[in-house]
Amino acid sequence: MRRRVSSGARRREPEPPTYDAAAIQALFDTWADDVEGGAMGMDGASPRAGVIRRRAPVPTRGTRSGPRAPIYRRAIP
Amino acid sequence: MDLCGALEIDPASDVRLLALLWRLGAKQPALILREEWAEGMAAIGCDSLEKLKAYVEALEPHAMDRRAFRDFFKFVFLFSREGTHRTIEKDIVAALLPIAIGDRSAHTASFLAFLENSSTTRVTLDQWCSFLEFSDTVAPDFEGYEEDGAWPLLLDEYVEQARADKAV
Repeated sequence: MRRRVSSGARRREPEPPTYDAAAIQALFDTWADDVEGGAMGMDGASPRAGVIRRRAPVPTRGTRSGPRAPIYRRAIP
Repeated sequence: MDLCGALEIDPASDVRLLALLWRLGAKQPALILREEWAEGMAAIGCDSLEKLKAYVEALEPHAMDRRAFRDFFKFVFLFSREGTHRTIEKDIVAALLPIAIGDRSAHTASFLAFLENSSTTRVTLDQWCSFLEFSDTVAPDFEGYEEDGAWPLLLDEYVEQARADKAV
C-alpha cells in the first residue's frame, strides 16, 4: 500500500536562484560609460555604430518638401 | 573593454547581444539603465562574467516561438532607433534586418534590394513589424499575398516590383 504524501511536500516551489547583487552592480560599473554611471551606452550592440561611421553626414534642415507620402494604399477594414 | 568585447560578440553579425538586452528589459534606445541591468541580471541569475557568457552562448532568438520572436523583433527596432526618432534609416535597416530576422524570412535579400533602390529613406516601426508578419504569411513566390490586403504601401510596392522584375 502506497503512503500518502502531503500536498505541501509534493508542491514545494523550487528555491529562487541566489545571486550576488553587489557583483552585478560591479559588472555594470565596469562597462558603464556615462558620467554618473546610471546608464550603459549600447551603440555598439547593433550594426548601427558601424553603419553610421560609413555614412555621409545627414542634412538636418530644409530636407522635407511637399505633403507626406501615404503609408497605406488601402484602408484597413 | 566594453560589454561586446567582454562577451566576445561581434554585434555586426551576431544577434545575441540584442537578445540579451531584450531579456534584461532595456527600454530606451541604445542604452541600458543601472536599474534595468540590476533587475534583469538578477532575473536571469547572472552575477559574473562567466555566467553571463554561458547565458549568452545559449541564447538563440531565431529558435523562439512566434510570439516571443515578434516581441524580440519589435525590441530590435525600438532599441536601434537614434534618440527620440520614430524611424530608422534604410541603411541601418539593411545591416540590421538580416541578423535580426535570420532565416525566418525568405524575402530578406530581395526586400533589401528593393529598399536600396526605392525612394524610401526611413523605415517605420509598423513597416518593420509588418515585414515579419509578411514573411510569416507570404511565400517566396508571393503565394498568400492578397491584393486587397492591408500591408503597408512599402510592401505592396515591393511585391509589385518583384513581380515586374520576374515578368521581364
